[in-house]
Amino acid sequence: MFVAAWICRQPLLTTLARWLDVGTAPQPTDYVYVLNGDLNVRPFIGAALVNAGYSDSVLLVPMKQPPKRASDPTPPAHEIARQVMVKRGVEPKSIEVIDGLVASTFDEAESLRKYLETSGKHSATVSIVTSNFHTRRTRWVFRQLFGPRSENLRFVAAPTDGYDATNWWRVEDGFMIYGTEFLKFGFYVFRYGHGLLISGCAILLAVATAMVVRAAWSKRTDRLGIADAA
Amino acid sequence: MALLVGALTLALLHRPIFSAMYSFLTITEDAGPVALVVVTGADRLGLDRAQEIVAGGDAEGVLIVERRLPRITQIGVTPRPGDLIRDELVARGVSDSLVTNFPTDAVTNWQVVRELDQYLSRVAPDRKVAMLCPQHHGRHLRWVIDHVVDDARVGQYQVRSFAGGNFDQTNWWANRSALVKVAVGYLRLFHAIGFGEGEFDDDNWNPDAYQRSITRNLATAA
Repeated sequence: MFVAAWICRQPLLTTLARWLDVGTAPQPTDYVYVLNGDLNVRPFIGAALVNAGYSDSVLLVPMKQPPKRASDPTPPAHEIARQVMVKRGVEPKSIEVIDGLVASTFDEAESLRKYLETSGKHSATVSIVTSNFHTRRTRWVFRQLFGPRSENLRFVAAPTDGYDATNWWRVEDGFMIYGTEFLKFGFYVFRYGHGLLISGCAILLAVATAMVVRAAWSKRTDRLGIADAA
Repeated sequence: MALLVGALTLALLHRPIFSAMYSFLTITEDAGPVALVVVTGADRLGLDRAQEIVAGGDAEGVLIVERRLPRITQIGVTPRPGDLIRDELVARGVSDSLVTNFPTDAVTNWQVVRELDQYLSRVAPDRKVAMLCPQHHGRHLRWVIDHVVDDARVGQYQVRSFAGGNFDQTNWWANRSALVKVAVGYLRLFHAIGFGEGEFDDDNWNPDAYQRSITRNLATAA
């Protein structure tokens, strides 16, 4: 099996990576929501969507960041994203920073949901921009939070510099990014999905099976013991 | 049954097991004074450590190996990371004259070590340097150095790792970001052992080409 897996590693690993990417071709939407992370690509995609006429408005959300020195001139991540988009030709008034201080994809989804609810735009369509390997987890999280309204969301995949789905395991950064993404996806399904319930049911089922097998075994041993005695 | 035994063992012995997992990634070689402390990233704790080493007289200066400038720096949104690191070191009390910036086109850790090695063989062929890295990258960095640097010069390099701030080998499993960092440490090490330097696709994504293509698509759809 290992030999077969090694021989087929190219198609296997490519398929695995493509499974993570559920991004679709851009479509016109009311908003573009650029998720935090990979500032060297995602804000550029957001700007391109606005410049190409897919949307008129961009939403950003501030991210929790570690403390830094007052003298450090690096702006916070959402401000960098905003400046990138302005540099790329997006009008500053088209960019809105929504409420929230996020630390995870789940928080980002929650911030967008609250924003759309409080501003009365329940049926607004939104293009969610994130890295290609991150789109499946993102879609999963947004579907959990938005329910049937997730039909109004589109997921636009941003590429990665230096590697893609066909060679990620050969590039150290790709191996690290995809490797951790698989772990994170598992964690999210467990933590925010029905993981605890499923685990509980699995443990109960295992205990019940063990009890049934044990009872059947002792019954069989008793029968054999009686037969031997006879 | 095996699962149950495994779970029980982990519950009872998780501390020594997890500590050993972390310690396996960690390498620190504080083998005496060096000519230069090499800094390759802006990690706050790494800069603190660099300052300590220089202030303690264990190094004569700091060498900042700069990687290829990120796109956001190229378009003028963020300052050069190398300048930031320099300013941070000076703010910590390291004299500006002791800090040297070495701009390179390196992207991967392997390329950084290769560029550094070429620089040292030119500028300081016999002098020792200490490369700084987070604890959970120590073994990986040692592996990269051993496979990039010539055997004759590998003794010039020390790896000095620094702790993660709010976690170390005694508690990393209770910290979510530490869990990710340790996983990354293992993934990098596995990759280095399994694939060596691997490949790097230098043909980077082009935002202008992307914008042109989606503009075309919208026009076609209309």
